[in-house]
Amino acid sequence: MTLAEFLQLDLGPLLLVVLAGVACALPGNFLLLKRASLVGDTIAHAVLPGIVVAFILTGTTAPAPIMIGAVVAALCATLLVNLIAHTARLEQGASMALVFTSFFSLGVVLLEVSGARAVHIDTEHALMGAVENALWLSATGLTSFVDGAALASFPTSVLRVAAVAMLAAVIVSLLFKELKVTAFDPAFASVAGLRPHLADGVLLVLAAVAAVAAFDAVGAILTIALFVCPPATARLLTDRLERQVPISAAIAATTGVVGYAMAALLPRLFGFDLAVNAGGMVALVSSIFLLIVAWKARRRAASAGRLAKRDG
Amino acid sequence: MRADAPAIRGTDPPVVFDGVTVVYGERPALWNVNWSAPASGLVGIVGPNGAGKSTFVKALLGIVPLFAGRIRLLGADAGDLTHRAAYVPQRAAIDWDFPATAADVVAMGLYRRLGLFHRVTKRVRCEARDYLDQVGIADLADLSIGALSGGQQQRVLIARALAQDAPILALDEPFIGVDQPSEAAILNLFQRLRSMGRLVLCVHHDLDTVTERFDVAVLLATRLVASGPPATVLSRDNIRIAYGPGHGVHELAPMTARAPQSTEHATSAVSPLA
Amino acid sequence: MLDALVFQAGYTASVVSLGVIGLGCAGGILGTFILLRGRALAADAVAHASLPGFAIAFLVAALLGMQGKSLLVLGTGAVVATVIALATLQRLEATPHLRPDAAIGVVLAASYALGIVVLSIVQTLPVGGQAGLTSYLLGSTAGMLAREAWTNLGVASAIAVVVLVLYKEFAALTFDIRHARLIGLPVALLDGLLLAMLLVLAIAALQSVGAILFVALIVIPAAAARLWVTRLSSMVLLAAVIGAVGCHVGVALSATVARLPTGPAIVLTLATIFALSLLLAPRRGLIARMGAARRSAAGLRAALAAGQRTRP
Repeated sequence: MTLAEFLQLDLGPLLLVVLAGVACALPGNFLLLKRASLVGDTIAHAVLPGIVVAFILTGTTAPAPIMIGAVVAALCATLLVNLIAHTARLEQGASMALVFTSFFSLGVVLLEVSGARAVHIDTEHALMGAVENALWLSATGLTSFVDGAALASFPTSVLRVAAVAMLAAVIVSLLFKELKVTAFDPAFASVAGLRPHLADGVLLVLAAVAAVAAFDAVGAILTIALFVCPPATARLLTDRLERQVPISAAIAATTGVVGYAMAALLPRLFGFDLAVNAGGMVALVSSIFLLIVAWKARRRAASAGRLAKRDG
Repeated sequence: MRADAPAIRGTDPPVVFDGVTVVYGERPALWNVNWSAPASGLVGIVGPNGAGKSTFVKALLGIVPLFAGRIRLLGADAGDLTHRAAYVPQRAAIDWDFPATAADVVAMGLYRRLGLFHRVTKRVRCEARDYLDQVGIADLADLSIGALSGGQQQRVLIARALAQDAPILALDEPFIGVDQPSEAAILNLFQRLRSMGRLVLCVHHDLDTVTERFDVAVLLATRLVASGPPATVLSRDNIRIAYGPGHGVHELAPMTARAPQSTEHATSAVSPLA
Repeated sequence: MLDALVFQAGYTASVVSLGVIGLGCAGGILGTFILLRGRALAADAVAHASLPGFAIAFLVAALLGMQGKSLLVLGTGAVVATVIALATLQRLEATPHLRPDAAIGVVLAASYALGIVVLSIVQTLPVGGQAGLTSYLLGSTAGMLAREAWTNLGVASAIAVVVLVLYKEFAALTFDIRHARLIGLPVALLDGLLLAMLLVLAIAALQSVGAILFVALIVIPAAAARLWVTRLSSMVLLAAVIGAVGCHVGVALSATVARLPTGPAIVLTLATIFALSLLLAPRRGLIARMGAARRSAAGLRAALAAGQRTRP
């Protein structure tokens, strides 16, 4: 494998999974603490019809309308989950299952019926991501990074994900206090004049935008892995939110690199002609990482329990 | 109607309930409550389970919407000025597995003063430690909140409310599941707040200790049954109205210490639609 | 479309349609108890978890030179995978600092990720018969054989029979588990039986409805039925009818519209039925509720005014 080959075939997809992981992990921390991880799953499914409708209406895959469509769809889905849970007296989980299957189905049907699938997005993309869209075919070597013509063809999906990850990092650090207190004690936040509804709204928008970013990398259905696994792993490694958030971002980036390497680079290095789905592998690696850390945490807790029993 | 709504004046009651009614679904939780708080001192809010004690405090803080009536807080409508009252929720309502230290939680009381976008600095953390000192647990500042005892957790929540530096302090059942030292520390703090001229409103379940702990008692049973000096409010007649005709004072006393009374009698006796 | 609806689209198409209708019936019947037992998300987990079992069984069978699509091989894989996934879920939920919602999110993600990774490997293998595997995600009745349809019908009837025979016991279980335990019912066994039937139904429905959307077949008919009726027996019956109608119309739609996957067509039909129920159902529907809320508020206001007038 040459450098040019790496730049052409692997740099874009690699950046895509790493940055999408970071973009999802940052809001994922707060979803996790609000016990709303499955809201993240609902949002990830629900952005599909938003993306497709935005595409049908505007005829482009420009980021702005796609993002607006996704945010609107995510908002509708979360409002519907609450409305249905309340009116039909369903538990939250059942209501979510109802809403996300319906939204996702609507997205698939619109995709197939409208002809949007011919252009940029198709159903398989929604099911398992499309990192191969992020190829940088005009790259020849390191000089391509300063070559205007080569840079012009740098994959836009990577730039979009980078922008989203940056946005998530800026918003989470600027509104860290507000997001934290709202996740911890929303009633107090409202009494103390800290506007918890604003923080919740920001979190919802951030999750929807991150879900669109993850859509390219891993598809709608595996986005839940990026929302939950790195934050949950980080939670098991620290007892302070100030550390949990950066640790989760680091874990997301690491599992992105490891997952992509296992899917794309290793088979090629060893001469296998296997096309392993990169998004699936990234999600798998981050879940395995969590399972290992959780296993250790359980063992630690069990041995602490034994000690306490012996001492008591 | 603006004539009776002057700017904040020292002589006005700091909290006024005017025909306050709160409805959950179709069930009234508070019915037509008219009440004025004393200028300062310790107020115990008592009544059977489901009598609207927590709702009383939450309405005051603007957490639940009013179905009818209005609440004046320091001379202004409550909704605009809720941050003038500090809030200590029930300990059971808090997620104690949250990844934060005691000082982190107390610092939340200072967030409003810090303002949007500003970070929690070292100085803020020091200040948080001072508030923990006021409830006697400064040494636990850097411990994870999940590692604290029930009483210590309650004291952390109270320190957070102190950090809000509000003239009114509202607490929901601060003595439930609390150890002896914590209870003493909280009572001690109440005395200090009273001497500083603050108003403390405290939801309380234990009728036996109301008289010795509070200056004013508010007896609720969806409606306001009585309010005033605890000894007068907790008369045999009033308690029968609030807790139902089946319960005399003599048999009530040992039972309220643990389990609150069943609500069926209470609601049927004072059902607003009866 | 009309042809498909009145079973005039040929023998195989009619049998396939009948098989899926059977699955819809069984989904409604079983879903009523799953929903009332508060296990909606278990249905989602079971359907996702069976996916990697399917894929790995196919891979192993293909490598051993067996007929990969034999239902026995695939079914065994799915059962093993689901048992592993549910055991993992149980352990994760018992890990300190991990909440149930995060645990279920991780299991969903890990199962689906493993399924996608193995499926992507299967696709590159030089063996036949793998083309249909991606349709297990969203369902497709296009290539379904009459034999498979008869199997579906058999599974559906078996589930209906078991539920009817044990109706009293399941009713007690879902109504009040403590009481059920008190009167000596084998609660754990009944719960396990519900889960086992869920798994069998998920495997049977994998091809026609798909792993991602299976949960809708369980949740939506029961949730819609619950809006109309209050008695358990009527709820079971109505849910079965709704499930059957949803599947029938969905299959006909997907047979008529080119490239429309069956799963989303079924789910959208069910979602439409649910939306109408949510709006129109007497007493529990949104419109009826808004009227009742207005009347109740007016009543309370009148009582309040009367009380204030008579106040001394």
